[in-house]
Amino acid sequence: MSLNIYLAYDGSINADWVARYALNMALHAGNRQLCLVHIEDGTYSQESIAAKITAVEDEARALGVGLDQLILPLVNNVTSSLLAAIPLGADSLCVCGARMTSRGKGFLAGTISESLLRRKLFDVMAIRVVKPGLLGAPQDLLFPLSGHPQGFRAAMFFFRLLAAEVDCLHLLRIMEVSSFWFQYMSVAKSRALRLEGMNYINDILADIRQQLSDTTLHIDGKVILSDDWVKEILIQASKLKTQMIIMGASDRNLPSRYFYGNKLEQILRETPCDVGIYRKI
Amino acid sequence: MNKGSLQIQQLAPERVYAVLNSRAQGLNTAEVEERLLQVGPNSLEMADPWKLVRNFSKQFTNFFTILLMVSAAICFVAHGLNPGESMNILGWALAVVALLNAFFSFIQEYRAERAMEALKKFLPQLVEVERDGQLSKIAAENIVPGDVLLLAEGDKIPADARIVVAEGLLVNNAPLTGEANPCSLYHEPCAKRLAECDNVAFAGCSVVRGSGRAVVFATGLRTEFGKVAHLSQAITREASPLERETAHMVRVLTIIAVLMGLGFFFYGVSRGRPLWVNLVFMMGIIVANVPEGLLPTFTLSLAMGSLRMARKNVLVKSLSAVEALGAIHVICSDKTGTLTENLLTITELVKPQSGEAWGDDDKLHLLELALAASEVHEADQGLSGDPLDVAVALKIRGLDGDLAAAQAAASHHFVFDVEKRRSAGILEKDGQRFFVVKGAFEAISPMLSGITSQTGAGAQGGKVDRADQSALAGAEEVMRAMAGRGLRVIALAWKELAADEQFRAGEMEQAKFEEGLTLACFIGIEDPLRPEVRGAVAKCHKAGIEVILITGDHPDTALAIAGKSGIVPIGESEAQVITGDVLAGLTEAGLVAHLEQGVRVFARTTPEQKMKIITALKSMEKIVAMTGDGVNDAPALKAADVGIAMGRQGTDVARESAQIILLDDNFASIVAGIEEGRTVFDNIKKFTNYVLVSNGPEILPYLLYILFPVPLALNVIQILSIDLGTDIIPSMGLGQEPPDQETMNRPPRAQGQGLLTPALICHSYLFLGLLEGLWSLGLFFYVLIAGGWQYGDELASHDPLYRSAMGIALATILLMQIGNLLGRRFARRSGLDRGIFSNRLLLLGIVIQVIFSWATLYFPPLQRVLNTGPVPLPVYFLAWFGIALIFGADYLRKRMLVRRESRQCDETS
Repeated sequence: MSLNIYLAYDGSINADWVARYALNMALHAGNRQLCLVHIEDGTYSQESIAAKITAVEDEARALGVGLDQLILPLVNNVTSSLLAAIPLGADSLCVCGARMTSRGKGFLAGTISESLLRRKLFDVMAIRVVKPGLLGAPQDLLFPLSGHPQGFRAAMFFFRLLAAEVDCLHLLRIMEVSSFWFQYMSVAKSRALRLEGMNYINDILADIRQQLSDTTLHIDGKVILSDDWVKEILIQASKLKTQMIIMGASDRNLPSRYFYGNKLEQILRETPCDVGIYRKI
Repeated sequence: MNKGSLQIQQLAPERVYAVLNSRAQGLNTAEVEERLLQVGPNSLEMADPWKLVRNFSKQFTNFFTILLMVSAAICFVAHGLNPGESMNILGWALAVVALLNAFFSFIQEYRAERAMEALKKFLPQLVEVERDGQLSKIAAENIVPGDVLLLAEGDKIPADARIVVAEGLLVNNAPLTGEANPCSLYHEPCAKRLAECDNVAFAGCSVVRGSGRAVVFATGLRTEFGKVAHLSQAITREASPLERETAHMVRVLTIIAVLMGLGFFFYGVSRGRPLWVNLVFMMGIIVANVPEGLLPTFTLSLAMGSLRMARKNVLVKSLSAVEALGAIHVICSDKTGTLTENLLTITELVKPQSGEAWGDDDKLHLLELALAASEVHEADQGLSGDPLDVAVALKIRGLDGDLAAAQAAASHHFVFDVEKRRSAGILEKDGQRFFVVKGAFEAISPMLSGITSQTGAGAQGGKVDRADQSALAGAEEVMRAMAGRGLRVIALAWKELAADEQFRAGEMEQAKFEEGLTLACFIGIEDPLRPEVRGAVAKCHKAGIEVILITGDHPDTALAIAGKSGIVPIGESEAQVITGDVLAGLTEAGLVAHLEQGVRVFARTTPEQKMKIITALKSMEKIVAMTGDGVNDAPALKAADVGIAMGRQGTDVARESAQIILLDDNFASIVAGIEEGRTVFDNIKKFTNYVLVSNGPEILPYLLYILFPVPLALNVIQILSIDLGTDIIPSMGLGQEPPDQETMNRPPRAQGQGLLTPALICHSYLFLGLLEGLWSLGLFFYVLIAGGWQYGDELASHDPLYRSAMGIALATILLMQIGNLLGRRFARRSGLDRGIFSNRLLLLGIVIQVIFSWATLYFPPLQRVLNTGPVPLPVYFLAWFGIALIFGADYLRKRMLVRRESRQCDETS
């Protein structure tokens, strides 16, 4: 199966920084090809967009990645224009910024990226870049795992695209306990929860090692009991000095629902490193 | 794997601007605004307007506070139904206690924020940048990725930035790495990881010398310093063992109280009693069950424990740490200054091949060479500079050398380079010039072409052997033998510069001279072990506490110190040491496996690796104490169960992040603190037992009242007068009991070993509590019956007979608590053998009980408050008999236990 990577490019500074991730993914995707899609919504002048795309082209050339450009007029809105441009299905991966147009409304909530993640029409990775110096090539990744029965399978697809630069992969399983009971939890109960989490992590670690041929990659798994998984992810990201947090999005934690929305937003807002939110169809 | 993509540190300086979408003239205003929106201001704090409110609200989620608030609400309802009983006063009292409790907890949490204030001092207010081709000073908070910084001597660095121009740039990275020596920065690409590169200026660090230009690539919490700040703020310390056990106890007692209260409330309703009577009754049951005074007494006991610790140079910032220190299983200790004196002294100057000592004249000459590669200044308090350099200067003085002349002979100095692990200098003497290098042998050995084998060094001449592989191996063996004796070993190498070798100080390149050197000697520096440390470590081992040494020193030195101090047996193999490099590659599970195998020494570690060790130990369910002094120790100090900062060497950030400050930086003081902490827990157990005993006679009257047609022997105010009044001072007296001899001879208690055990409940409620209840109720009914009361008669609450009966019931409980108090001093001994006068607070408690029992019966103002009345003196004397009764019965139980235990012991032996 050949993978076609599309960069949803709006001309913002974040899009320039996200472009480096897209280029690096394309570099390791097999066909070394990236398609830049820009919808002319009038936010930036055509000259400035042209200059910026030329800079992306230069970087693509330096990396040895072919860059196609799709500069399309706005039809209805940016989302529908993008959907019309990107072929649907699992052969397409759309890399976009976590904040493209929705100023003042959060980093994902109400954005085009959220809309693309929610529609499940192709694979999507929305990225917020806060450390442009990494140049889209993070060396330490932190994957928080929600305990999904599929384990790391969906994440593996995205990990492989970044894996070439990665030295260290940290898996984090947070066993969430309600705030009220957390302070009264017995030692036996916390021990049992940790064990459950560790078993989950160990299964995934075995699975990953089986799939990866690279033996130099440092992989570590960690289980933490917490009443606040967002805070714990941020703490671990600082503690482990990870350069990127990569998290799966589901309908439950996408900001489409009012009550769950603020969790991902909190990570995107307070992150000490770049964040990628993915969804595999 | 293919590493096709580069990061900012790996790029040539000219490419840096482009990849950060910037240019040499800096960003323009529109770009700055857009980036400010994208990544936010360059600040260590996230704006959170609701943080204080949220933290305060959180204090109301614990069982005890909820119970107090609910009880207060019930009181107000009862007052509304029947205003005459003044239940609103009780309601207000309970509400105020709940609020105060929440307020104090909130203040404790709020104080933790001060670490952030200390961290902020490392960042500048204003910085010089180039924007739109103009140089300007702007607020550091407005810095964004892509900004071009201009760095000059004395500047604090506001954000992580890639150096693009460096002119003799030397920075102090101590806040981030803990490394005391400054590091040189360059603009050339670096292949290492971002955090380890010498072409990146990190936020929180400062420029010591030189100037440069740098392009910002990370701001605020995304900088390496920001991560330290984030961890210092975000990591909340886990509840201490005592907090967990107290929470468990409060939960159990609350559930019992509420269930009993509700049960009897509905029973009363079913019997057709008025609603307000049932409410008041329910309140009474709850109040009788809950030891209201216990938690304040915990706090007082911990506060007194902290005062005793302060006398032992252990300053406690958070009260929960007093007991937590007593519960620890592992101490992770630094070496320098904690286990050792931090007084570097040169004890050996040896020949590199044979390991023999040089003669005094040669020593002086070698030290003059070493001084040329050192930087020492005369200051008001003596010599100042790197401790090693100062040790060299002091040794010259000690050998009657002319220090001033030796300093004058040093014509140029190359500062210590952390990366290269060496310093260098040029010595001009007797018309000759020598280039001298001083540093780690591993760093110097590649530059060697010769090794001195006989007497004489440098200008004095002497035999020099070729530095071939076998000679180098021999030298390394000598070096390792010295390190194995616990010495810090520095190699000294030199070469004579040719007379025509021209140089100008400003343009000299150190690298140019660093070849063809001759190894002159090894300098052995000792940082002596504190004399009390060996005993303290032995005490720890006896007390079942493991000691782990974490140091940046060479593994051999670390192992030697660990051996000398008794952390590991002398002669322990090197396999028992884990170095920082190995540690970096270990997974958490791997590290746990090593710790389980008995690894107790970590060498060549970085401060941030402490966090990894703590996490592994905590996953082994150990309670961990960690010492630290640097800025970047702050996260580890917060992550440990007990963070211990050094009072003398420690930074403000470390002190603010720790729970305990060691005023003398001495390991032995930690052990003294542990003994105090264990004693505090033992004493808390004693007074918990003491306080719970009085719950028995408080509950029993309510059970009788609801089940039989008899008057209530104690009202709520009388119960509170015991729980929040007379029991407090005796409890504090028990909290003052000195440590037992056995305190440090038993292992730390296991996690989950509760304060409230079934044995303690049975002893408190079903034995002593029942005894107190029966005797006090016996006298209550004796007074009633003697006064003409008959079974089933109802008495008005202000009936003098009823008041006298209630008075004697209360007085009896108060007096019997004296017998209970004396018995609680020891688990197996009588309690009198230690002498009452040895504990003045205990004596005061007894006096208060006696006076209060008398005043309850015979002092009219108190009679009015408590609704009590007098009884004939012979009856009061019967109440006094209760002291002997409870003390004697308990002593009998202890004797039986001792006999049974010795029988069991005999059987097993």
